[in-house]
Amino acid sequence: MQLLQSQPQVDTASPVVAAATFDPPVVRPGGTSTYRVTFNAMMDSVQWPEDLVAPKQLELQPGGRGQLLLPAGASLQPRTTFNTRVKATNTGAFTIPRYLVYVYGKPVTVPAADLQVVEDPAVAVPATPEVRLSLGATNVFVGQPVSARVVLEGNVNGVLQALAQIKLVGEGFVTDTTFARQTIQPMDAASGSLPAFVYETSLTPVTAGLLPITAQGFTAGNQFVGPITITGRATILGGTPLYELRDTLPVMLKVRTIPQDGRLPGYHGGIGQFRADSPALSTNSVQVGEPVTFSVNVMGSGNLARLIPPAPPKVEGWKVYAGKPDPGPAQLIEARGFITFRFTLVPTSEKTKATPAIPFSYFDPASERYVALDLPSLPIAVKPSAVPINLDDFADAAGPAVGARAEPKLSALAPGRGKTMASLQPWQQHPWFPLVQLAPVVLFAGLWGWDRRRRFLAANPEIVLRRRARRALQREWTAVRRAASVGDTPRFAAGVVSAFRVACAPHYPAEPRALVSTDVLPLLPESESAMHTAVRAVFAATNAERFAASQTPPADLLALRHELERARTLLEEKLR
Amino acid sequence: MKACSHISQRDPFVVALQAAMLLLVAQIGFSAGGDFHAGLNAYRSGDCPRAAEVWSKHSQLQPASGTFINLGLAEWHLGRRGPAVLAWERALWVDPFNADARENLRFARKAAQLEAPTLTWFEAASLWLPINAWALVAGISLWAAVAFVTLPRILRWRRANWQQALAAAGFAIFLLCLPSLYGINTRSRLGIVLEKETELRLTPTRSAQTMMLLPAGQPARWERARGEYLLIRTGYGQGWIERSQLGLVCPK
Repeated sequence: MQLLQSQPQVDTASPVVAAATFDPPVVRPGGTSTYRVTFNAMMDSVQWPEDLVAPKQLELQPGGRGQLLLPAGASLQPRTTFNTRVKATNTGAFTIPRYLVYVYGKPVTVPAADLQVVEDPAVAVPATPEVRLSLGATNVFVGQPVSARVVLEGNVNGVLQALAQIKLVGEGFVTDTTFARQTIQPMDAASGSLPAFVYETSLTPVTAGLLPITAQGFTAGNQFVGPITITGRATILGGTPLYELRDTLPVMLKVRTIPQDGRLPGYHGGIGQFRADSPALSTNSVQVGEPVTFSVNVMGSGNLARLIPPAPPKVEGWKVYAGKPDPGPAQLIEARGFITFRFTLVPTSEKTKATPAIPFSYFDPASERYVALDLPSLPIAVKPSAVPINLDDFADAAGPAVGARAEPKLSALAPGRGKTMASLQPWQQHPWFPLVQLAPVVLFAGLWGWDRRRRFLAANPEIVLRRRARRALQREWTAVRRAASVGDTPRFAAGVVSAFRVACAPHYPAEPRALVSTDVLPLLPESESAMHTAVRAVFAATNAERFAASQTPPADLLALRHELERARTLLEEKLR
Repeated sequence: MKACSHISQRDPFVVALQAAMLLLVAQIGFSAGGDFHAGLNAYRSGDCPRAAEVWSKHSQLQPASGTFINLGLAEWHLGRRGPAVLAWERALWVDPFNADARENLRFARKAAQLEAPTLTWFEAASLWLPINAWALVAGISLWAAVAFVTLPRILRWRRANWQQALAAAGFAIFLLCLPSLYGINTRSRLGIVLEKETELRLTPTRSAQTMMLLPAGQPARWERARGEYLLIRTGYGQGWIERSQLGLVCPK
């Protein structure tokens, strides 16, 4: 917070003023001028119109746009510039009329600006020095570094000014400002050798395709930012710089993807032309388990500072640990012209006579193929360890690190259906699920009812006896009816007696077989004399058959069936 | 005789019913198994579109983890990343312990630079058991606990300490299951964007402003529906997409 407060404030309160000019204001037919509009406001606050209203004879093409913070007393004043390239084909005086632009949400009037297009200007207008962009290569591969050179020549009088806030504008590439350097050097021009301000940097395309790239910067007079190398003669004027935004015409960069075919082992993204120095070992005699450092310098052109050491190989007799990237900063690596790979090797067997070769390769954009640059093996003497060591203690350097997960890969086909479900919807989302949850409630209620009934019946055993008797009566009477239907008098009589006995037993209670007709008759209405007679007759016939084997029940017993049926009905009702 | 005639009257009906049910079950089982192997044959002969079609139909008939894994492989080889990721997510839904489905999802997400669904703690916990196991365990534990509390009273048993302990354990298991059950419900709202460059719209209208383009295979949660549009939440933000552009892991 203290750091923030110590910074000068950006002036956003002052009234916003717009200025519009043509640079140069006079051109010949076919010439190009820059229509430059400047605001003393932040760039993000300016709602710049997409289409400008201009005479039809002028061809407009959007140019650079940028913002600069200039010291103004105790505060910083923003200055935002919008460039538009204007090409005039016909002679005449053309005016881009005044118009409104909203800045900080308020309308600001951009004044009119005039452009004269004449065949022969009455007064010679000095040509404004152009800013030019050139690329080291225009047909490259993704990841291949490309040098970019922005040049601002001095005028014919040899007067030169610097550029500030230079940047490359476009999409699909990244600018590596760590390699940027600026110089003033003489350059050959039509009017002879002129001093020029040269800004050199590097860009790396990250997408394939045709990429338009422009450069822009503010003229900064004698205000140089950072170190600069000056060679030759140059006149640099003093005074307050104009801080005009200059931009270049777009340069097209064709970017292709690196082919996958022919990729060699040990490729880790190196693009360029490289060669390896002779490798060196930290010692040529080690004991088993003792680490030795294998180092090699790789030099050449390309993405040297971004080279990554190749993956360590898996070799019997050695544990090779992953090489560490060169700790030096990118500028230092570029300046010294080589990068150092260091691998830690641990011999695991005294039979080993040389270090393993480490596969390494790079892609050569010139020949458009992969080039092998394997790091060779070196002879080394390996002695048995003086102390016992456990070789398993060494991590598997060539394999995945401890705890790391293996590279994922697609599985093979599943041979069977595996686990199945009736539906992907979980049970709790089915409408039947709440109903299923009621089942235990019903079960508990049923258990409670059953237990209650059981206890009730235990307290009232006659209910059980009557129910059993009723069932037995119904069963016996079915047999009676069957006997009657076939005219089997003995079975009929025996069945009736048995049925009446089981029907009357619960009323005493007594064993059914112990009952006789006199036990049955009291349970029948006294008024039913015919019924009494029938019952007596049946019991008598049964007794006669039982105790006098020769006698058979009279056949007319079947005629009593009606009375006996009524007696059975009455007895059954008494059991309810 | 009467009993026999009764049986003989019911017998054809019962036998026919049982036979019909057996045939139906056998037909479903045979058809499912046959379709699965037809897909295998088509895939091995290089006819991925046919294999994907067969396994897609088969998975609708009977969702199975193996079918979903194979369907995902066929879709992946056809370049349909969204349906492939959806199939493997469904394989995990059926069988959360399936290592192949998990590995395929890792591979697909690394290859296509896709996000994995961000799961809450209760959703992560719901992966510890198959989805229906949670409902089963919760139901059994709850009603066992209720039984150990109420049955001794109902049946006038003597109360014992072990009954109280089992009731407490049952209630504890039930309570532990609740977050996972909720996690399953929220996971069932997970979906996968099926088509590449799916427009995430600001409003549920055809002419809505496009906020961003979602890649195929991007996980999303559907919040609500309106007409033909679903309001979804992704790692990139919230917006509307067409119903047909989102495949739900657990289709409604």
